[in-house]
Amino acid sequence: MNMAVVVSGALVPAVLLVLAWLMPSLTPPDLPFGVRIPAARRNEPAIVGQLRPYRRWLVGWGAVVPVAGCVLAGFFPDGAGAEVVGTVPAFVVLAVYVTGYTRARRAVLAAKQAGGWYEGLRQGVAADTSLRTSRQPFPWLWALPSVLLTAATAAIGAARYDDMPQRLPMYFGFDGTAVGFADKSVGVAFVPVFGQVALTALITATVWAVLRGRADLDPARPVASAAGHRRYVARMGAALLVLAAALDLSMLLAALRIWDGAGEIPPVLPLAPVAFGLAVLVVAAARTAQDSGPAAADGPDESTVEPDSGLVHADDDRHWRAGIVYVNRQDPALLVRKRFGIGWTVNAGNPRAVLLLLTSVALVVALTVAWRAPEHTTIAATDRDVTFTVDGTLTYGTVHVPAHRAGQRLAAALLLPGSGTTDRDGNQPPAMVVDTLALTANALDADGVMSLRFDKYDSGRTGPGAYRDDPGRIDMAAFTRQAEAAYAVMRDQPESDPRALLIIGHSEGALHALLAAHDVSPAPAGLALLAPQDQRLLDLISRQLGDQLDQLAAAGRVDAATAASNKAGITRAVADFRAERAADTSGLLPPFADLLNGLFSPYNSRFVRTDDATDPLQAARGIPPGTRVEVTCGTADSNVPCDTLPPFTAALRETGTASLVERRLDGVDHLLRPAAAPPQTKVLDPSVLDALHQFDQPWRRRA
Amino acid sequence: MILNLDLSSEVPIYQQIRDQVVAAIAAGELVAGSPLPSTRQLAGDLGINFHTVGKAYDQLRHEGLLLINRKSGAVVRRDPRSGPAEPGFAEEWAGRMRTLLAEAVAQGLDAAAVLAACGAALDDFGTGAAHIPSEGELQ
Repeated sequence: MNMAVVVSGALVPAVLLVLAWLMPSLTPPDLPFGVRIPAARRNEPAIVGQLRPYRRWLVGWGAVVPVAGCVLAGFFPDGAGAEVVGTVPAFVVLAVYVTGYTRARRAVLAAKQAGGWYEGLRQGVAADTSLRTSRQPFPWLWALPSVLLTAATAAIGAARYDDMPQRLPMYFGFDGTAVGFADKSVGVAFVPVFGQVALTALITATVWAVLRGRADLDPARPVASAAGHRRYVARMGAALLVLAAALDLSMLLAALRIWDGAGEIPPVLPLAPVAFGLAVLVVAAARTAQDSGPAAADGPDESTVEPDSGLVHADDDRHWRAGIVYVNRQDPALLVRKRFGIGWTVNAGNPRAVLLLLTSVALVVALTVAWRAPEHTTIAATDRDVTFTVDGTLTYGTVHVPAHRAGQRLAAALLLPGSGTTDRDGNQPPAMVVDTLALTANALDADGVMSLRFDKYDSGRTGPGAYRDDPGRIDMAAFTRQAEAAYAVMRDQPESDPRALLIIGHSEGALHALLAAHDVSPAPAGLALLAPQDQRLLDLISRQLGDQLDQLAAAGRVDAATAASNKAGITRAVADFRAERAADTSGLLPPFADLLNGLFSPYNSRFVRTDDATDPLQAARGIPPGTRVEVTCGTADSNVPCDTLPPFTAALRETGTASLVERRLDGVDHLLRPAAAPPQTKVLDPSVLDALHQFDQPWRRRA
Repeated sequence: MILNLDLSSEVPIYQQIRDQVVAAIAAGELVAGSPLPSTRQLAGDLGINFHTVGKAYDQLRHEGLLLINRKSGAVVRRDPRSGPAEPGFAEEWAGRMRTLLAEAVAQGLDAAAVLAACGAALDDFGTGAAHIPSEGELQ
């Protein structure tokens, strides 16, 4: 279920409904549902009787909409359309609110007209000049937290600037994932601080305006309502400044994530302080409503009862369209307090107020448009050097990022080479320079899939690393750990899509791919196993050597008896080595003896023993269910012939793969080249490219 | 000070403002030097046209009670402690008072009741200067 849709589909409508339910309690009692009534009519049944149906209407819908919102969230697990659909429940709630409000308002208006409530009453207006001549002082103390938070954010930013990543997440999607990045600069890194300064200034200006706002005094008790107004502006000013501090805190929390280069900001992080600030504002508004209620008149503050002025508040309904929009050309005021709701509204009858409103809307629209990730900007393909440390060894690698749109997330594949000192490109210079992995990266680039390849232990720039002084200590697991560390680096690249991480392993690399798939998080979405090591190492080598002996015998270069005795000798030596006995290779033909002696030497034995102990079938059974897997074999591959594969693919199938594609590639050798290709040629067979394209098909992206 | 306007009254609004400012000065609520809001501000607060307030302020200025300065705005110019009235004021006021008393007499109000009302009003202003004359002092 998409968390963002839950928030916008259920949480936001629920909060709106609660506010709507509270609203009659948050508005002055002589303005029920936005209708001006004489104070003496407060308890008319026509008014009191509207409250229950209004709230029942809200509760009825309130039970339906958030549930529907949750269901909706279930239908849109992720991605496209969720943003738009997610806002529908909030609009439905607004419609429900307006309908309930309008019905209640009509009933109150009808009763007011039918009853002639204002007949015979003297309508007045009141003002307290001291509200102008000795103004409520600006609550500077309340402004202090937001100023300090802004200063703290700026200071943290300045202190951490040098350590920030070169690319900072700047644009975020609906669910808080970063969709766009910008190169680090002061202007980019300090965007959260600029936001804080702008917001703090905006809210401070609002408080300033609130302090200067018009006091709508009740002419029946002007002194008490003037005192109430003073308390109202003091309270709302403080609440607004608390909101400013909350927003600044939100931005500080977001800034800390941005400065870490984080790929996402959990929405709860910035939302929690905002929710707190808004709650404070609602409580302040509620206190004000109580303040102007009937209890306030004889409350402790107004111990002196005012003489009856004989006036009631003028019926100003004609200036309020639907009780919501204030239109009064005669009134010079720009902002007036809302009748039904929290805060202020503009005087739509005042050209300057309309201009102010339009300017603010234009500003918001302009900022929103300007702040969209530049989606149509194409970022050129690039190779990025990366380093990471695993078990104390600094490992060097290359991330290839295909051309893509700014903010686009790409599938990413970790490329793992075959056995030996094979470097990130798939070469063992100078003996073997064939670019197996570099060419694989190119093939993926064409499909918009990024890749990471690295120099494993003993190869390329990485070298022996932590094993420099004791090369014989290295084992199979060390290579798997190195691959897993590389996977994490790939996952953390700003462009990589964590839901589309892939591992492509060649030969022994395929075995590491299986082992890593079992451990890494998130699990890879797909595995491509190219000419995978599908048998235990020494079984595979015994078979290879046996095949070679058969070929030599067939060519008449050794006799059948020698071939048979060598095969038996190899089997015996392997059994001895596995049993940790001295392996006797003295009776073997020299090339075979040399090879086995090399494998069993102190330099190699630990690695060979741990590799051999790893059963590829067991590793295949260990991958997470639901993985898309492709397995290839080349008919010209003597190392991993196609006919040894069935047990291996059967083991994969046991895991419940999402799909398992087996490709038998005609005339392809172990290095994925056409069998006829001369040595040292950098080429992948077209059928290999085709297999790669078939594999990455679900994750293709277009720039 | 509180300005409380009766929108349904026969008395024009500018007159109500002017009267209430005078009453506030008499009651000591406003003293010499007390500031008043600008015409625009007060008009905004009352939701009325600012020319109406201007008219009231203009009259108060004319009467020597208000000082209107472009820089410092409207300021009360004098109060009961500011010394004797401008020459000529007493005569002009006596004329208006005569009309007011004539209304009372013509409508058949009792002389003692009229005097008591005057005393109560002066008491209300709390000037301390109010001296209610005894019956014997009256001719």
